[in-house]
Amino acid sequence: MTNLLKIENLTCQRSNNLIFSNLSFEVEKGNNVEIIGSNGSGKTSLLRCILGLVEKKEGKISWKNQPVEESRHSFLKSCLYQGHELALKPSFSVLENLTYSHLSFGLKEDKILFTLKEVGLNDFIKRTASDLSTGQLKRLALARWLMCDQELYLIDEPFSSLDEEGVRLVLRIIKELNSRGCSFLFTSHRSTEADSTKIHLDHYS
Amino acid sequence: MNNTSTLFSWFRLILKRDLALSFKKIATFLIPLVFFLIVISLFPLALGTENSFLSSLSPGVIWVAALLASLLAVESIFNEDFRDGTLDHFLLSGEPIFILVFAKVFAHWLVTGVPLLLASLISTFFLFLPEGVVLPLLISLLIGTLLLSLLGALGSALTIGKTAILSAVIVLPLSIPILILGVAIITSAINNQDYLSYLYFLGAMLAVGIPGLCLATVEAISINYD
Repeated sequence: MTNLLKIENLTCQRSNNLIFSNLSFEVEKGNNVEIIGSNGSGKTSLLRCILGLVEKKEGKISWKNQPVEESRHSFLKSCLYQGHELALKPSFSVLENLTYSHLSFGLKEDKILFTLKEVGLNDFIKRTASDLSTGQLKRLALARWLMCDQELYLIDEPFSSLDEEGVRLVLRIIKELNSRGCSFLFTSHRSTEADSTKIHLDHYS
Repeated sequence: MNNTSTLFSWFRLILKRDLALSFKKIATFLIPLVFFLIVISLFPLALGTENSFLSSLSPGVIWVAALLASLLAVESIFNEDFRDGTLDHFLLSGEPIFILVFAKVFAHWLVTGVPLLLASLISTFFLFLPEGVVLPLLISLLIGTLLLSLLGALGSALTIGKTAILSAVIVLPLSIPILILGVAIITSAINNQDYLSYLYFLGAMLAVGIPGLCLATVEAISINYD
């Protein structure tokens, strides 16, 4: 198995508060890692720390066996991050929200329409995002995952505010992307059905 | 795609997106425009319609109104994208942040600065400005509003996630040199004096301001972004 992301003894601190310490794990190509933790355990901070949006206190983050600081450009180009906020514009239509995404570079409209069909939003392409339900907005964000195969998806709580069908859709998409060699690092409050290595962040907090 | 065309595609994507967003929310470009016209039209109403008096006040009136009007949309440059998570996506796209900043500044100028240029033409009637002043007025506003958009982006970047009024407090003192030069250009034109030296100075400020202020904005985003 090819090692994509390696975290060694990672410690994160914000405003003199230690969030987690000595956290180590690896994400291999085509595999998933699930970070489980209660509210405030530092799940979001961990993802943002890996991406360089939050400064780490100690530890080493490697991307394809190179320190991430040295391979930042290729690392960012290979990742897709989705935080709590879905990065969708309420005034844009469903189609515009995908067309104006940075992931739409070089993509034909057919591909975008195909991804919308995959998530069941093909009948809503002209509807503005403000007229969609929370679950539909989540599906729209899911369509972005399928727009291009990123090597690593860092997703903050992908299963929250989804009905059972939505959860099944996320699981199906994760599986499909895994089969194409994509890996997931995602967070959740409790263990999910996704085929993944589970890490309990509370043990490091 | 080679590097240059990738950079250009990135610039075009951000510009098109920001313009599309502004046209969805007409208030973004309509409010500064209406604000500018209202402020300008208040002066003849409050001070009377004596041509020479209004004409002598007009450089200051036009520039102060333009400065305040361009500040109205400053907050939206980065804060809206920050709040809905889009800025995360842009910063993590692996594309140059400098281009992102420049495209956003340019979009802001097209949405607020260009309508102000057109509105300033109308203001020349309200304020009884002589015909010969129109050209220097337009050129000075063209350069000045671009500089104000650059300063606005810096103010917006320094106040990401904070209240809108804070960016105005930061931008206002920094824009004093632009205000002084802009007023000097129109005053000189009204008095039939040479205004080109002031115009060159304002142009030089823009030449330095585009790379300088964009880089400062990139730095402000990285320092402030957490």
